[in-house]
Amino acid sequence: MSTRDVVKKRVSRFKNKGKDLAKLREKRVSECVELRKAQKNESFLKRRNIILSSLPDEEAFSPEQNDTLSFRIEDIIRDVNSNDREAQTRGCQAARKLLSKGNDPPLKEIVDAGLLSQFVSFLSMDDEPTLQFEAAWALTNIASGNSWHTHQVVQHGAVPALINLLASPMLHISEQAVWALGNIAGDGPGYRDILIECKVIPALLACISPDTPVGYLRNLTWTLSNLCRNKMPCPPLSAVQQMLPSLIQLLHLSDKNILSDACWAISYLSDGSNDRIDVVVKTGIVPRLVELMNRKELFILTPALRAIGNIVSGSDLHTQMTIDAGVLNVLPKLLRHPKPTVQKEAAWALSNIAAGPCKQIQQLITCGLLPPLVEVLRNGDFKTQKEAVWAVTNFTSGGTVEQVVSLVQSGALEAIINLLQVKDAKVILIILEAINNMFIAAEKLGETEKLSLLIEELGGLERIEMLQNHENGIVYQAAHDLIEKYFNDGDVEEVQVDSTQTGFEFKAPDVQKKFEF
Amino acid sequence: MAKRIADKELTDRNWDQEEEGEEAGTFSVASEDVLKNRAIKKAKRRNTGGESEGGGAFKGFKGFSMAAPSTTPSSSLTAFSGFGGTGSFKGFGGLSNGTGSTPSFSGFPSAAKAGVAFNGPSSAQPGADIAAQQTNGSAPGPSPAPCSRSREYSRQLTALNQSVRDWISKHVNDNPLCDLNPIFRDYERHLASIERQYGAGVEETQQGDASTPSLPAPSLLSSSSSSSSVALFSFSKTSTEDPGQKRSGSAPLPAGVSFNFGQKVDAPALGSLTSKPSVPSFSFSSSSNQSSPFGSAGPSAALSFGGTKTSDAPAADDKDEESEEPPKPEVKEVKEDDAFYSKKCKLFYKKESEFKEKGVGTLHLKRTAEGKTQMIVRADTNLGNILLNILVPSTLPCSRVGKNNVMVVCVPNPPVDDKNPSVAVPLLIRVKTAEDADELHKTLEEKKG
Repeated sequence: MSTRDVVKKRVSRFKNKGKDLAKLREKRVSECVELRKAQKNESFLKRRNIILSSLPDEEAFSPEQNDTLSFRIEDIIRDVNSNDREAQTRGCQAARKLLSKGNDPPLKEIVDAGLLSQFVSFLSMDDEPTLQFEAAWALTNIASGNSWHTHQVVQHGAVPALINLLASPMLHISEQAVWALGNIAGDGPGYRDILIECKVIPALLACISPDTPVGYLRNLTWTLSNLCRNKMPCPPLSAVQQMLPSLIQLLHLSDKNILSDACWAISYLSDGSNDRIDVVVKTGIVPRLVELMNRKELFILTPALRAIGNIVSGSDLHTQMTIDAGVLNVLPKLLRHPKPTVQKEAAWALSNIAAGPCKQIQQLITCGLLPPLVEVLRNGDFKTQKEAVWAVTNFTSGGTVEQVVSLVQSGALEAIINLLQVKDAKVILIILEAINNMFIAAEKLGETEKLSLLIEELGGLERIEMLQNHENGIVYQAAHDLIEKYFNDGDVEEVQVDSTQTGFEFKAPDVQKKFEF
Repeated sequence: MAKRIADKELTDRNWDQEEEGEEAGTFSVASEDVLKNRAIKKAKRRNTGGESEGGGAFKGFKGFSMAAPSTTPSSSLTAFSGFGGTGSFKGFGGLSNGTGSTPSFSGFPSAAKAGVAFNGPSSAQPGADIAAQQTNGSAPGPSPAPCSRSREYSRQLTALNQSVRDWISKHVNDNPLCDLNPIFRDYERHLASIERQYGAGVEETQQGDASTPSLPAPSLLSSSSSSSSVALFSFSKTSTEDPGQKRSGSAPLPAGVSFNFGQKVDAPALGSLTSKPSVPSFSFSSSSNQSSPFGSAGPSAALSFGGTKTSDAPAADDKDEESEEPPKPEVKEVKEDDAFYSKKCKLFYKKESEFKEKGVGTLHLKRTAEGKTQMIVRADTNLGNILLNILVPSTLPCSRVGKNNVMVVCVPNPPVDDKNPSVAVPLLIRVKTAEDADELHKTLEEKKG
């Protein structure tokens, strides 16, 4: 056989040359989808590369079962450790394919085979882009394992090399490096911060240009989000401030995956102290977040809503910014969303807005938040109802007398009364607190009797009385005190022990005022 | 600040996971032991108008008031409502809105207590405007009545209240300076009587000089209409002017029986009325519409005492299609054997500068094995919670107070203040009559130590 034939044969086996392109693409996409689905079920923060978007079609490789199964570790070891570039490339690629297979890739075996140092050294071979690429891919997939695997990758010095690869003129190589670094950052705050110290952020941001393809940007956004992720500690503030402008840019694009990951990044960044929230809102991103909260795609809505929820858990000023951006127009819709977790998150956000000053509470009323609030109090799933109860209590605590009256008129009192029999003692206590607050408001109007009557009519008295049998002593006490204070039967306020002969022994002190109606 | 951070971390990996649902469930009840030591408070019921009130009131809800049907305000109403406010209106554990709670607390039948019927529009009352007036949800407004168990009771009460209203309005219009005290005394008496017959009041021994209940009313009334004859009130200085005055302005008053209020008209004498023909009316005027109070059989047409029945069986009468008799609650009282003295009472404890109610129950005195005296007050509920359980030492301060109270000072058990459980606290024991109080006081003095 001539050399040419041999080469041809190998190439035809090796690459997709001569194979039908369309078919290959189909195959690739379907395998990709399958593997991504499998990935989704695994809850780690890393992603294994099966297919890379930057690769031109004919160079993309789809794992064909026959080929992968036939690679043996010894062969790979021998090839990778040889001095022959071709052999190294062959070996490295074989390893990559093994590491890319759907079920149970041999991450540990490859690590134990001592191949990592070689792979890392391949990363810096700018004159061997194929080798660089295969090595980066292999390392990506190892780093997508558990913390031990990622540790191995880092220990073998991959980080600086990968960061250098970000600047590669070959887009697919650069993208692969982005991916690998995303996996390492996602391992936890430790490696995240090591990457940041190695100046990964400027290098990443330099990759963003108007010409950057969407697929690349998706990977990049995802990697950035991993750099924003995790608390204890939070990412360094300086790093956050570096990343934010680009994140804002990304948030204004239209690709849904980019939007989703960028929202996740913001949701992580806003999950912190008021200083952290401040940094986020100062970018002016809030209106865009409110917009994204209004999207129908759940994978965009969810992180945007979470981000807004975090922001309104901040200061009154932060909350006001969301209100000014129109959050109150979107919340009613979300309170009625078919997905319970969305309702719950919306109710939580509402409860935090209701914890604000009465000016903001007024805006709640004006923007029609009371009816949907009462709806979820009545019909929501229990976790949502819990959040809604908080909203009611916060409302009664910070609201003016008129606002509390509006709340009662909206049906909220009736609805919370109907929750007084639940198992969760905390919820019961919050409800009783709300009722107490309502009485305080009623006192200012001189209408405690009316409120008592209303509560009675709504069936509240039985329920409150029953609570005295609650196993929780604090609940008992709260219920008892409430009855004693506002529903007292025969309370002797000032017992004139030297009572008169008339029936007026129990004159209520303020009765004189009440002659006009 | 009341802001709360997220309870659950949300990431791009877990957002899509099915959350485990949480059930609202129902809370667990404390154990018997714990419950026995708890002072369970019964809430005052203001509304006996029934469930139907709920939705309507709530819909028409303004501020905290109920949807007050248009009341018919008149100058008299002011006084009347004021009356409502100043009276000692204690609600008895009445029927509340239809969730069927057992009204286990019968009202404490002290003469000092008078409840005003709260007749909601749902019960068919004669004179709907009266009902409306009484529905007025204003603050001191009419407090809940004792259980308005029967139609008849409601009617009686309505008539009583209407009469009071009219009488007062007339007399106050005529003379704003009049002293209304006697009216209230009479009102109390009438109310107590109605309660006995139609309400779920605790059984009372027949009052003093009443004749046996089976006596037909007219004669009794005539006998009790005493010396002041026409002017039945010791109100005489101002009201004698018009012995013959008719009730006026009482158009909606139901025709029928009128009761005069003399000093000695005691309720049991009135027996019971059948509900059919008429709704009785009470007249405070010295005349009612007869020139003489019940002297003759004249009013007997109105005083239709069908079989006079004793007051023990209020539920037994009034069996017409209309009356709704909710079943009498089965209050199985916890028996205390070997008590040498037992008395129904109401227990109060002093907190800061005022007395707070601990509960209604029965006080028992027992001899212990060591020859000491033990005082137990047990609540009048099926559970029989202990309201008080102490030994009576010889040093126990014990005094006669007011009309019908005895005060003792001791360390209360079960404690009234968990923060200071071993501090001595004045406790007030209120019994039905002055005589009972005397008796209790004497017994305690004799038997203590």
